[in-house]
Amino acid sequence: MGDVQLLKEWINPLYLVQETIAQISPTFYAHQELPSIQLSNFFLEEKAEHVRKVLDKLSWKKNYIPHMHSFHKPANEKTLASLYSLLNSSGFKSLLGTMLKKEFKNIIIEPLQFQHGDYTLLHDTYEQEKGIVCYLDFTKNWSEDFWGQLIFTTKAEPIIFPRIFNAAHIVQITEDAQCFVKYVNSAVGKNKVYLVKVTMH
Amino acid sequence: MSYTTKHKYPKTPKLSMKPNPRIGALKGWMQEQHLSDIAIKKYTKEFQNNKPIQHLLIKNFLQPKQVEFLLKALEKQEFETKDSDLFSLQQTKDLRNSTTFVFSSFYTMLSSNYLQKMLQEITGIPKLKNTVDLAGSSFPKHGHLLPHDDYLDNRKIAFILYLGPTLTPKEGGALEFFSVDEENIPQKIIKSYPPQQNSFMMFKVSRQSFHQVSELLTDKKRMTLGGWFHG
Repeated sequence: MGDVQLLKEWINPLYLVQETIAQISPTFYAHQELPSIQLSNFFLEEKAEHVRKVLDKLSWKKNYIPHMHSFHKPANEKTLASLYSLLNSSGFKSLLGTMLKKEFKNIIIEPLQFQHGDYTLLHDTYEQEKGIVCYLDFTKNWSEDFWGQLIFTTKAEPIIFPRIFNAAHIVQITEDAQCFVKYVNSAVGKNKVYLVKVTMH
Repeated sequence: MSYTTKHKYPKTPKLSMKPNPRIGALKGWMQEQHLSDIAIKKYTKEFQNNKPIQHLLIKNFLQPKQVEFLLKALEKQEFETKDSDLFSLQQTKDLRNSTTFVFSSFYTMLSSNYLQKMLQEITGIPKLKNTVDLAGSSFPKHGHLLPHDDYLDNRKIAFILYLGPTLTPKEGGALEFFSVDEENIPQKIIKSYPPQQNSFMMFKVSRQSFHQVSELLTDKKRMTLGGWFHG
């Protein structure tokens, strides 16, 4: 019961009703090249705004390996405790499991920030971890001109997820799919991409 | 009117009878001051000693008229927009077999035995082939090329000829070299070269040759011809 209450406190009620949940997995698996779905307005608005404010206040540390990536990670994640409680709850794992017809036992949470000059690169020798990844997007006032899109390369055309505040981009990383974040250019000014990457096993 | 005074003409300097073995196909292209023994010795020393990787920048490389011809021809070329995780830029097709006279003539100079010999002297890399890759690039505003080493196939020497306007460091578009650790992982930028019109950059391609082109921050285009000498 506690977990159901927690879900109700955080998640848009639209995604808690059976009718919506039943529509998610057919849509997700319909994309054969890259099973994926984008759930807009995923959290209740006040919760998404709250997380964004916390992310803005965090102290971020640069993670830079020039030929692989440049992005920022929180120096201290304690202030994100309430979001972590939700994502680690059995209710959240169960909700996503029901949506995608899978069973999730463990999750890894990685808050990421991309600012001007940041990027990730595809790498021949680096194999991306397979499985379901959910990118929770807390980026605001974004323009396509800033780049910084989340791009998945597949055997066919690349699939591009634009930055949308309070969207959950859920993808199944397969052998043929690799993901990168396009270089964030100087037009961005002081704006930043905020993503919380949730890898589910 | 007649001239009765004896006019003393200055003595004509004696012409050296020893031909410069480097001139050949390079005549009409490169500025002659780069072809003397003294210049080659200087460039050899610079190339070998430059850090973090062996490289050399030759300023005022070509005769100014040739830069003008190449730039005009390049501006008329069809460019394809290239976008990936690693870069955003515009590039021409391979210019090796271009029917544009100035490109085919430039390619003949690049692939000539004269230039190969000169490069071998400077770099110490033996057995360069006459195979040269050549393409034109144009960086629009925000164009960039992120860190990579160029290491592939038989590439021995990478080169870039800057044709576009000279840019200040604040305008971006600089070629930047990284230091590497003992496992050849790039660490930090050690050298940065903003584009300078009519300068020729060359560097040795290896597992250590990590470099990037920083984001172009101006509306001025960064126009270059570049490629690799193979071995």
